[in-house]
Amino acid sequence: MIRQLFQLPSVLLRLCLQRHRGQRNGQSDQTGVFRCQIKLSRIRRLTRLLGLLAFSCLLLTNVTISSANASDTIAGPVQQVLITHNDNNRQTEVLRRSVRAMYSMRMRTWPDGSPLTVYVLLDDDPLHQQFCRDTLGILPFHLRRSWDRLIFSGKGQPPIAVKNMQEMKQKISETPGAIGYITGDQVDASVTILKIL
Amino acid sequence: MLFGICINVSTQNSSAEELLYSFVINQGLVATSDNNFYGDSDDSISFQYTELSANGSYKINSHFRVAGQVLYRRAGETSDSVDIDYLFIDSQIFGSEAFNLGINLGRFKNPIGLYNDTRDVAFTRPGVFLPQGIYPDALRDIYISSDGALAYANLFRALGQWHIELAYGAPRLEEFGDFIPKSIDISDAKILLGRIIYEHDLGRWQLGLSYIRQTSDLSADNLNALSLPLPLTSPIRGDEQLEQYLFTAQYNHNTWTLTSEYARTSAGLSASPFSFASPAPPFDLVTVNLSTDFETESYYFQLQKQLNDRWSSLLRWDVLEPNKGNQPASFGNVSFGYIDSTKTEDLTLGLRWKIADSMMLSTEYHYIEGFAWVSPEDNLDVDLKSPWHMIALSFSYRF
Repeated sequence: MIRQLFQLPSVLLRLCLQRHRGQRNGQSDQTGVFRCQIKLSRIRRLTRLLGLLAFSCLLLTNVTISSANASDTIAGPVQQVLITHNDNNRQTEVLRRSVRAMYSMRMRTWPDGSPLTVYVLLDDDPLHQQFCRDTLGILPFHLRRSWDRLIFSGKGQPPIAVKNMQEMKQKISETPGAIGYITGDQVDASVTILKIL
Repeated sequence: MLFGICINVSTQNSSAEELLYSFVINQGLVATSDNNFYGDSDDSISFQYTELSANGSYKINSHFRVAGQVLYRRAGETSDSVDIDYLFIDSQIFGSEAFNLGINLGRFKNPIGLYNDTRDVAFTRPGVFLPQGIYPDALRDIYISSDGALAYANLFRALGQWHIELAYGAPRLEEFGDFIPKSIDISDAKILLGRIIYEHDLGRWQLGLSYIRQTSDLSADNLNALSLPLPLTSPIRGDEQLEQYLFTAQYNHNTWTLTSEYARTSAGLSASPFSFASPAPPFDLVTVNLSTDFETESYYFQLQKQLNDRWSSLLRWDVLEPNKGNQPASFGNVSFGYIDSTKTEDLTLGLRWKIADSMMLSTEYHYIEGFAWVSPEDNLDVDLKSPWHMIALSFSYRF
């Protein structure tokens, strides 16, 4: 059954083996081997080229689909802001590189050494995608990939995912040292806006 | 004792306690036109590719953490066991806006290249298999994890981040497979590892260099070959060493990811030639020279494309050239851990379907010339052939 699966390549394979054997023995009919070699190299080059072409087509066909998806998910310009727990001692400004370091999960404390807890919305949430793109400058699946590397090597923990902005706001207002993001119109006295420098 | 300290700390900051754990299941199918890979795949379908892992991380406070992973791995005849993959205490000594410093004590994953730290977790691999030229199963025992200490530093700069790791310990090296007779004892195995990675713009560009230096002592007072005791005229004493430089580069642009790694490995064995009386008539004295010294060069180019939220594709060209050095391995045609010392090229096309956030199906087609990285254990009675084809499929689930 499997042999049938490989039937097409195995024809090529047999020819290749013939060539290899011919080269190794060196006693067989030289012109025959030579002719076989020419044919083979052509066929092999052609099949490789065709395979690559087919694959490239596959790669390219979805470019339009994915870009269409991206534009669908974000409806108009929504201003997103970084928020933190209401703690008078805590800073109200943060460096962009620190935000990036916090969300890469490599930075585990605030600059003053106090504990840091990072909150995110789910990967497919439009606001998360916007935050990744605008504030972090990265696509959500790249960020997920780097978190996975940290988690499965034991070198770090992922951020805490929340379902919506209400939950995000509530968690941040309850957790000292928490950081997260919501849209500007959702901000109230329960949280403090962090200005990105 | 360290656990004791941690427990004390945790009781003081009980609000910061956090335990996270997850499980990953991966089952693969492998079919090849010739040669066995991960089980009896030659002209058949092998199901002998299973990975089950459970990992957990317990955050005691923002400075101390314990992380561990238990792994069951079945990969043809080469591995079928449950092991503690890693288990260490992570202590962050210092943290500031500009950098942090820390140390991992216990069994840690060896920091090598882009994928070695997570080589047995399907969700972090670009395809069903990692490129075998750089991450060969033949050197797995040296690569996977080590018992010792790993110091790390992360530097947070405006343009990017630097991740520096330096480790020293004992690799989990128990035997060299079929490379040298199993009755030769390996002792005093040590490994020194270093890795430096620069991530520009949260990984838009990533450049890295890894270094491995591993040594061990070899000894045997008696030798068994094919279940026959071979009386040695004198005991075997020698040592083994491996040194590798690995360069990593990755470029991410929108939904495209281009990755390349290049490794140069020099390895060698030096042992006094040993003699034994042949167990069969005419009982001649047989002399074997185990000493060998050679260089391996390997590299791959890999293009990944995220087609949409659910689908991604992979194109890779992977090359392994064992025995680039002048001295051929003197133990038959077998190179350091490799079944054969001929150049091996692997062209891979892959497609991945993310069924849900926790579930995925990966499939791959390989066109391979050469067979240096297939395992000797899986191919004991097989007439190895080249070129050959492979189709692999794997289903992965995390929860």
